[in-house]
Amino acid sequence: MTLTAPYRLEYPYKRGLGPVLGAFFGALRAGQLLGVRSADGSVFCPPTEFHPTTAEAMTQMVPLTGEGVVESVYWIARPQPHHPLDIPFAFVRVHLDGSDSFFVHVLDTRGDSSLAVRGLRVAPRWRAERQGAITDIEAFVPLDQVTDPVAAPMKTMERAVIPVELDYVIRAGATQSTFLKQLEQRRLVGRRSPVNGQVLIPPRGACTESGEPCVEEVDVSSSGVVTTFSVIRIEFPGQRLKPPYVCAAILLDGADVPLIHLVGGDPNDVRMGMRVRAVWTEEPQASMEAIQFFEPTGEPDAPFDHYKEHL
Amino acid sequence: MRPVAVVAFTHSELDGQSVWDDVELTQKVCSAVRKQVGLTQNDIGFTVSGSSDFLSGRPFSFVSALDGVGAFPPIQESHVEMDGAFALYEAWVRLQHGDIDTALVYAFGQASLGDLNRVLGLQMDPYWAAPLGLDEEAVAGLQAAAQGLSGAVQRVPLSDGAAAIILAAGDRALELNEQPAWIRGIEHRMDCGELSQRDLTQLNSAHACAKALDLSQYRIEQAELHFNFEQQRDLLQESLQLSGDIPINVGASSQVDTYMVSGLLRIGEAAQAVMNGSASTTLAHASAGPAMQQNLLCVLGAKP
Amino acid sequence: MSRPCAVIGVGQTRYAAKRRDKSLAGLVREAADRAMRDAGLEWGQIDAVVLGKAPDFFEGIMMPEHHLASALGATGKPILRVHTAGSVGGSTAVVASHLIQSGVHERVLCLAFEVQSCSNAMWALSPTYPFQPPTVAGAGGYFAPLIRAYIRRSNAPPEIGWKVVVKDRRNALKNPLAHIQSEPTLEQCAEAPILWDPINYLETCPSSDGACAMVLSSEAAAKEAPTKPAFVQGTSLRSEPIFFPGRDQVTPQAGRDCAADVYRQAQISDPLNELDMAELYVPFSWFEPMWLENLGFAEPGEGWRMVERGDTDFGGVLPTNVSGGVLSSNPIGASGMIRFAEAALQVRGLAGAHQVEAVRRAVGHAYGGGSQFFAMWVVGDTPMAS
Repeated sequence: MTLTAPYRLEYPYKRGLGPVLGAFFGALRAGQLLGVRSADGSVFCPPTEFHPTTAEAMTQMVPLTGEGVVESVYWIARPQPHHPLDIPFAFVRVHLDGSDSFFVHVLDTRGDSSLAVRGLRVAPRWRAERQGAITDIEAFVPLDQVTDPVAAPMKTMERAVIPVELDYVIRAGATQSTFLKQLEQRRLVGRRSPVNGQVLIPPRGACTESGEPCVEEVDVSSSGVVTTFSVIRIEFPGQRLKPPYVCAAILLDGADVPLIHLVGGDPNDVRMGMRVRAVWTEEPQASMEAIQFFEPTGEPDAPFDHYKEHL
Repeated sequence: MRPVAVVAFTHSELDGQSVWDDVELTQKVCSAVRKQVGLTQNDIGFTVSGSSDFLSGRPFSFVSALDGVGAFPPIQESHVEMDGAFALYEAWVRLQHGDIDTALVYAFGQASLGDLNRVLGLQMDPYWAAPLGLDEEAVAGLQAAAQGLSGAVQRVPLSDGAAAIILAAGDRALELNEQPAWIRGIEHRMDCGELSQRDLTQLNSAHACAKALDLSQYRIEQAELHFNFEQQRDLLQESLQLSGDIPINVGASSQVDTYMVSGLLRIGEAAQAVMNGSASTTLAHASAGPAMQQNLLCVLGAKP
Repeated sequence: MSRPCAVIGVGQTRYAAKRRDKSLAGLVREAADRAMRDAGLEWGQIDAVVLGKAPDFFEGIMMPEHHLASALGATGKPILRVHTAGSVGGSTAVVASHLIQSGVHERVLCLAFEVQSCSNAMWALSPTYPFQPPTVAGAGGYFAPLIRAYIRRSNAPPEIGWKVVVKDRRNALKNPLAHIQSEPTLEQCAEAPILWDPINYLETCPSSDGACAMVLSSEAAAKEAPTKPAFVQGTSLRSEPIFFPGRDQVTPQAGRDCAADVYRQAQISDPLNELDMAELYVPFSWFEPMWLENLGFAEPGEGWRMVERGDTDFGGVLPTNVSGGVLSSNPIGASGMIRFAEAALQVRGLAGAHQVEAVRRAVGHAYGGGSQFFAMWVVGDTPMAS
């Protein structure tokens, strides 16, 4: 059985807008749709800075009424959490009056799919509170349900903050799952390369040198030598430990590649060649975090020659 | 151009969620494909792969996958953040130089780690599409609607997996395989980036590839096409002006979408048909991007 | 069989911590427009585009080539997207050069970019991935132990790291596009706060926004170019796994092989004397002496002596990173291509205030991952005789 764990990737991405998108999003905040006109007179909304076929730069902004005709409809019968409406709705491409492109947005027909058809004339339903985002238009709606937006001053926007959130379920592969379950039993088990006889830990699906599978398991010691290290003093978003802390390459006795882990205690005492041993967490766990950190054993340091081939 | 052929092709199990990680998948296909033609990694002139960081949710996913290749002594290597079919294109270009004769191409993808429908929302306009919750299905749905179809779109089933191909040039191809699948032509094109500015019923880039290849000159006996939604099959056949009696997606691996690998798999299946003698000229296709924005065509034949 | 490839256009954006004045499309276009103007070309004359950048996580856009197709004039054209970690800017140029050398295309636009201000590099490069210990602390966290190992092996004095910073930041004052426009003193370097011991703040590259573009062409197309081209005399890509027994991470075999390959193609036997300048990928100052050794400019353990003697200064034996280098501007995905482009500018005599006198041959270098992906090219004022 492979091990799994949830993993979330999320960040509020900050995007510079530049003059064209800045004007577009600024206008949305003011309750107005703007397009961009190209040299050949075509009008695109949402505006893009460069012409789709000639690549010419386009800067001339033109106001649109916001009214248009639905060109294509895709009905969402069961909205998902990431969708903008929580009742059944349609994603639509709207041919806005005065434009030569198709505005992609959502159509709200109060859950009635029979109203969401090609050819329907629609206009935006604006939010009362707008921030200069595409969602300032709550949805497009049939013309008879349109009300004028609450007025707001027009001002070019400089940047947008666009959050991205994605959920994953990460699976350890077969080799890694075995290794992690052995860690749960407080065993450090590497694998021997069938080609060069050397022991990799953590084991990979293959001998990294030859690409041949490694199947022979080899118990290695939970003590070893710090070959090299860094004291992390920088702080950064998403950091799990409070600096300063020591990340080290540790050549475990019986292994042929260093393992990267933490060394506890006073960072100023850590040295190349220092002998360390694993300190296990009280609760067993199938994770590299089953080892809390490595601590000095107090034995004499290993000579440089012992580990110089592992830097 | 220098004649280049597919001489070996393999893929992992393609039955949904994989029990292997990227390194294991890579190891299995690279090792197997080399064994087919009796080569070791040291014999390979150029290695190139395709994969996506957002698919596995971690940056540099291709870095750990390299552990499965056998990349020491160091190898001449490159990676595209694209379907493996585009990696194969890069290898085909590299083999034109004439100083090396073989290339290993591989790709891996495990769409089951995340929600691909949502992940692919990040391929669209970064200013308005993500906040709108536009996802892969919605875009395919709008494309289907533009085709005049109604109802929910049907996605081709997803699978995790990996594939590998060995290319060889000139006489080396014949030394490695009595019947190589020669690349008679390979072309790829991109359409404009804005969904709002595209006629979604026209796959201009696929059509442009067909035109560049002069596809009508070939008697295609089998076509392996890469589409993620059933209705895109018709769009593709139209854009490529493929006759309705050409069998499509005969290959076993063409029944699923192995995201980031599918295009390479289609080339592999089209090549396999030539290598095993069941066809003398075949067509492979790969696509990428929202509503098939980017397309690649490759014609394979029994003769260079 | 391979034919000559020329660099006929170079364009770079101004580099800054935040280029919020431009959208992503606007920013890449700033570089592309400059390269196109330099090459004297219209969009219709470009056959294909090769785009490179580091992980998509930086901008939160998956495969941004789809979004950027119109900005890059790529509608209806082939476009490839390269990602080889930090070396990607270099690899992108090499892939583009292959499209010319192979005879597939006549004129190719290659472009690499990063908009680091969209997110945070430390966040993007330090995922708290399940099952792993929380040891990942950005690029500096990875490279600091290697620098420690280099210092231990070579017994180099600490001021070497500071000297490189002062030199590169001084050079950047001559490059109006460079992000950092201030020259620290050695004393300031000595007292800068430690980020990843032994790397301090001043010894570290900035996080930058920006893009770099080049137009590559065949020899025939280069004859029509309005300015002097640089010719690609050799290119090489080399990779090795991140961990294997006995791996020398301080001076990786892949780097040595990459250099040997590119010198062989350019018929260089004594790189220090046959190359007139170098643009090396030095994101942390200590990597200058490390790469000087790895790339064959100095004997093992002796690279720091070149720094100490001033050999890599402007006016030295091997002026290195006269543009200010990665230490002065670091839009990660573009940083490799900037090295390649700056080498080409020097050969073309178009580097402006940071032009080195009489450059006939120059080397551009990039690396990435755990010092495991390498890309290099040598450019010169003539094509290699075949």
